Amino acid sequence: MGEPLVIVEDVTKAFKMGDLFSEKKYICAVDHVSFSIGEADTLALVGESGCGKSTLGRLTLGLLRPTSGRILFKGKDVWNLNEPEFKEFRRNAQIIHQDPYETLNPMRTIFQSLAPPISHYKIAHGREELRGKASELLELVGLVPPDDFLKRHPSRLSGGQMQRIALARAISVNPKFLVADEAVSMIDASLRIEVLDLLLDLKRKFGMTCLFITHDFGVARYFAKHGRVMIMYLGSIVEVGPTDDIILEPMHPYTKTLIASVPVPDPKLTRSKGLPALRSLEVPSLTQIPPGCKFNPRCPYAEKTCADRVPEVKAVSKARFVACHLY
Amino acid sequence: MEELLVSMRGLTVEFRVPRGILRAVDKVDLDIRKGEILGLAGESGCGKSVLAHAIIKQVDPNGYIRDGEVIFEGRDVYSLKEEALRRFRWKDVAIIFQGAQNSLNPVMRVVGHVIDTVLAHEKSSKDDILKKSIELLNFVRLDADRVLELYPHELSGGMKQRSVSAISLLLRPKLLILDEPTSALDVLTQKYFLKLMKDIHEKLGITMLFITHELGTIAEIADRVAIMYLANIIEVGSVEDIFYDPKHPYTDALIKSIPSIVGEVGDVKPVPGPVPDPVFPPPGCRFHPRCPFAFGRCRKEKPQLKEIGEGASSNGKKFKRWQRLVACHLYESF
Repeated sequence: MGEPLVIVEDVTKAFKMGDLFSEKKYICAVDHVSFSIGEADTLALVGESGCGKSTLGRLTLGLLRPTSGRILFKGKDVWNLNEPEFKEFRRNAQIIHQDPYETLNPMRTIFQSLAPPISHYKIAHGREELRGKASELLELVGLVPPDDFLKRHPSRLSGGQMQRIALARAISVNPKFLVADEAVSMIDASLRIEVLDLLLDLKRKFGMTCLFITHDFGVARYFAKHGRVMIMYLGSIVEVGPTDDIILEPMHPYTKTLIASVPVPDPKLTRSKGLPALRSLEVPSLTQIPPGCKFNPRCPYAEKTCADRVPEVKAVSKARFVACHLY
Repeated sequence: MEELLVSMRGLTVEFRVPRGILRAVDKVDLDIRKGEILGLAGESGCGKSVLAHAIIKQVDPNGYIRDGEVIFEGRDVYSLKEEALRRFRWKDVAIIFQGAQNSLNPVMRVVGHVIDTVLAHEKSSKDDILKKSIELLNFVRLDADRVLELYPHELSGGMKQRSVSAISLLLRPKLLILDEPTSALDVLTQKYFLKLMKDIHEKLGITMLFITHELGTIAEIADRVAIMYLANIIEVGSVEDIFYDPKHPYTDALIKSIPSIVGEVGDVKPVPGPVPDPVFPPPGCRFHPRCPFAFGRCRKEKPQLKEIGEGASSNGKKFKRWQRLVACHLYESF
């Protein structure tokens, strides 16, 4: 692991729920989470819908302010920067969203979508230079010849092509840190790998640090094959470790059931895997988080302490961390 | 020959779109055998949902069934009169849609849905309906007495999905169409849902058409699989033939393109080239611009779906014959 670029220190994000008249409730979308990502490293954040993984991604980018805790970028608290420092951080930390159809303004041509960030950060000046830079970016993401694309509107692009434009725009300002939030889940299966390969290629070329958010273990494994995976459940981190180690030998009972449930495109293998022995099928609501370990009402190995005490994320070996009383 | 429940011949469905006519289903021949789970797989937009809905003569307002026929147990579905068609839907064929939460009326308790569903199709007493629904709700592992009194917003996504499944079985349909039923569910709920569907299939003997773009799900549940690409069925075979010995270059490429938690990461390969515009599909074989094996004939002549052999399956002894059908000029010599 390289020097830590992003450090998340005991971060909690609570959202207020309910309307004007009902009793105020708070839900903890992210609950006392700590981790760090080293320079040029890849961390895949895996969890089911509603577990808080997108909120955590937005917190690391400084798009949401944590209720408590700190986010450090290059050692500095991102909510305690002066204006030029914050501007520099904003340039350095970029995001690719899930839905390419909603990322691009339908009224603007591709050139009009690509140019503003480049000119805002004074990476290129004047129309000619901007055009040159935009063409260069399109070539980088494999949309050739660039002149074919610059004048087009998004309506004339496929989902995969739009996601390439979103990627081109994110890297146009030379960021150090890229958050990809379900970046390939809306792309056709047959094109998904191409976009992932492109993302990996650019990450290598520019030495970017990546936080790759996904609900799909297969995609996480493909993208973070040389990196780490972090599994989240109801706002908490349950396990972190090198990708292959976690997939071959999951430790936390939640990770175990998750990996045992992922369907694989191999009829004999996938049918040979039995049902994971969960005690309950229902995911608890975020407004009624169970005390102790959040997984204890469903966990087949739960003991008495699990309902009493919240397990801390502990190191079980050099690279592996797990939050479970069993270890 | 195995007994057929549904037989589609020359089925063609078109839609009027701003840019012209989009043919979503193009002269499709497909059989559903009695007692099987047929998986229908393909990427989004390939026409798999349109095909399934055409079985009950249901098409979006901007679309129409242009040609072809659907024979259900010897009856021609498209010549049914309005009232007969209404009875046919839900009583003979039930559909579970993607995102079950949208199929329930938000201001009606589950019990209301149950009673309405049955009374719309047959004469029955409330007690009988309740008795039957309690049995089915328990079968899908719901606490029936409690769930019947709840409104949809009081149920979790998985509970709604199971409630809808139970309601769809109330009239004991002969065919259950499941249209992407697991896409809105998380992985754990999905695994249990698939197990439940297998139990229903085995215990109640209901034939199922399972539509999904997730090949892992197909591998888990289907007996036979049909693969669709740009409005055409391009390959049909037993689940094991399709996954272990795919014949069509598209099937092969699609299976190799799935990043999975098993197998070598390095073996995963993208399907080459972009998906063509469905309004102006390529001539000849629709896969030829992306196919590594394409030759002259593929560019001119559209290959027909043809039987290339018996096929095999070690997956139970359900059928005597596991036909293998492929639409590809590479297999003309068979």
